[in-house]
Amino acid sequence: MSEPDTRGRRVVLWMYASAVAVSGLFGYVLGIIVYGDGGGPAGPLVEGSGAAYGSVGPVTFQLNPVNLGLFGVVSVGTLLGVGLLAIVYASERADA
Amino acid sequence: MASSSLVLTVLMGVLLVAVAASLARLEDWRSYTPLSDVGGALGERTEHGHEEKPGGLVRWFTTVDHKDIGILYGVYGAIAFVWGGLAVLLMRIELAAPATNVIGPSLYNGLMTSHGITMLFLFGTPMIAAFGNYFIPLLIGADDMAFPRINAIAFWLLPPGALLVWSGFLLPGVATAQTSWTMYTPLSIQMSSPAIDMMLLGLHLTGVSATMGAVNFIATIFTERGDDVGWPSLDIFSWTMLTQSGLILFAFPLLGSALVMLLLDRNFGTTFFTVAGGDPILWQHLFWFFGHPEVYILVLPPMGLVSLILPKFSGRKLFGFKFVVYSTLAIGVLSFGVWAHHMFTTGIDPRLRASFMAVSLAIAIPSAVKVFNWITTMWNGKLRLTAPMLFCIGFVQNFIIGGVTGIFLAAIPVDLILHDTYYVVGHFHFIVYGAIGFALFAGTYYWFPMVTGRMYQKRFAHAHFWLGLVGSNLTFLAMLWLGYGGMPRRYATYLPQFATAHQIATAGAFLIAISTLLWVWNMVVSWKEGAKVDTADPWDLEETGQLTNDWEWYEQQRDTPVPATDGGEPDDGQSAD
Amino acid sequence: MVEQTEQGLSDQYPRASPWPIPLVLGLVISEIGILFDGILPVAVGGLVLLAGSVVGILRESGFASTLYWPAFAVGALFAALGGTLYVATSATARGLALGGTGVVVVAASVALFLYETGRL
Repeated sequence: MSEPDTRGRRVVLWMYASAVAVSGLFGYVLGIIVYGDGGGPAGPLVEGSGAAYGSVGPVTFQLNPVNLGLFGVVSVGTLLGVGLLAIVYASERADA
Repeated sequence: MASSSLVLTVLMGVLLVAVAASLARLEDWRSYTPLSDVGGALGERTEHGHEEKPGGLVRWFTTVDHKDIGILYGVYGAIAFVWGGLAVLLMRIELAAPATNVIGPSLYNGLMTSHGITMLFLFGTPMIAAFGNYFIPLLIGADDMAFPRINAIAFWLLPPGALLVWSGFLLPGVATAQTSWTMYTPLSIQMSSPAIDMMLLGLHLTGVSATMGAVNFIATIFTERGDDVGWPSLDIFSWTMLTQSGLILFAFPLLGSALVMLLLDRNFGTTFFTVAGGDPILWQHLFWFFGHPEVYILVLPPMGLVSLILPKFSGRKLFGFKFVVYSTLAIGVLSFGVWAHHMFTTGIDPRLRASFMAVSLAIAIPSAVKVFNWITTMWNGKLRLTAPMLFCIGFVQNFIIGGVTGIFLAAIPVDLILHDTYYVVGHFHFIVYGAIGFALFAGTYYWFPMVTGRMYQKRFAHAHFWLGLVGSNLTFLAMLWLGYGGMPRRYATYLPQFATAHQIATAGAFLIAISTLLWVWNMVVSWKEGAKVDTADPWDLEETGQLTNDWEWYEQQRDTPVPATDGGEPDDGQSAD
Repeated sequence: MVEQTEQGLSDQYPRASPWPIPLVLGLVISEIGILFDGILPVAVGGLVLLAGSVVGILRESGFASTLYWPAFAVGALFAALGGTLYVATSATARGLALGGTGVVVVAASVALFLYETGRL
């Protein structure tokens, strides 16, 4: 069975992109399901009414769909990005 | 009572006579020529007929050939997969709306128990054994498994085991076992249905089967390797099977003992796990001391399959082979030190909890090493996106999600919030279906031409992959959402605010079901009438220097005429290519 | 189907053995018979089948050169286990099933001894 060759890097980058996209989507939907669209309480984790806030280090942000989606993209993008850079580095050293 | 005893006696008598008669038909006991000494268990008889196996059904009931037994394991695993899949489809249909609409809570609980136990013990472990049985001897250049008869016994323990596990559904008037797969005490002692006793017996039998299989794999890999297969050149799948068999050897006998203790508590009045006099938490310790290694028993060989198959379609050797082997061994050792992370909320000593958290987090390192090596193999490779390769890529992708969600669960503070929610369900389904299932599918497509001599239908296989990938991510991501929202596991009903996510999960489950139907259809139809492969190297492995022993065996096999025609020398110059 | 010839199935076909399924059936049936109270005939039948298959597979695979010796060993083991259960625990019915089967198998081993040594 013959299949056209595909460059491995393209597939890996697609995997990276889709993982980041999925985590963005995941955060966005999480914001809708758990924290209610736009700050109103919806999910059972939310206590009281009004907007909920979360913080990463010095950055404090409102828990709403857009912010959570952004959080997903940035955190997963960084985490997997570091791994990807390590892979690129190792490949250049080993396969040079 | 007396009359039913009499009936049973007569029935048993008839059974014994029937077995004796069929044995007498098959076997002439006087024909056994005394061998010179003990130890000549197999392979010593040099004179045999032209055919190696009897024909018809008798062949399948009496075979001790590793390839036949591998196929039996595979068919059995597929049947169990269908059963477990139908069970969960019914559950997902019920969960499409908050109230009780289609099936009642007790049937739901029975199906849930059956789904878990079936998928882990009756599908996962046997399906891995299917690949191990068929291909390990070929990969390491052995004639057969070290103990062919034990191999057959190990397989034949499984069908009665399955019937016992499913007995609550098969016997009218007997309530189904509703303990969930973890069989937590005291519930599993207090439920009175005999279906639970039979399920415990059935699990015990499958455990005996797995242990026998493990002994066999270890002995085979240690003693039956061909002259050209030393330890340094042992393939990665055999390494993972060897490690897995070691885990089985330590984990399954413990499960067997714990099951016997539970049976004694239920039937003989002992108090190992009872609330009064015993300790229900003891069960959790014993169960998870088996149960967590079981996770790695299930995942290591599929990782081996991916490590074997992924480089074949990347056009280059596995990057960092040695480190993949080391990480396999590391996972094998560490897997016995993490069991209490299933018990963070049971009130065990916080210092113990902290140490189990540390080891659990440490397992992420060898797992990440593997992912690193797979992706690095792909990075500079030229990929051929065949069905087995697609499933390997899907494995890596789903394994990353399942692994990362697992790291969070290993942290005590996160676990205290998410324990017993759908988050946990989503996490481990990414691993058991998204990763393990995908790797097993990759294996079926990869070796399909070798086993059947025919090619599967590419279009169906690719549709299977994409539907399965989208379906699994829909279902299991929705479960993660549900978990963050606080939806607890194991309920047939739920609050209305969870409806949307549950409906997404149900939709995804149906996509998975459709994709699996495509797989079954493809396997059956292509086996019967797929296009014949015209070469012994259907994946063009020779080009990249990756032809492994199994494919070389296949080439010889193709060149050798069918034994029934003359049983003599292979025809010269008649090879297929 | 298989034709009746001088040889048994596992002599004609080195990759076949009729014993695994009877052995498994024996194990399963005796486990069920011993676990559930009040179905002693099942326990006895299963144990007889188990004992017979163990003897048969040992003999077939060449780990034993006679039938009477493994039969005696298996019978004695069953009898000892059953006797212990009967004397030391309250599971007397189950002990009886196991011990009784052991006695039957030992008796069979005597018959096999006489047969195999040509005295019968």
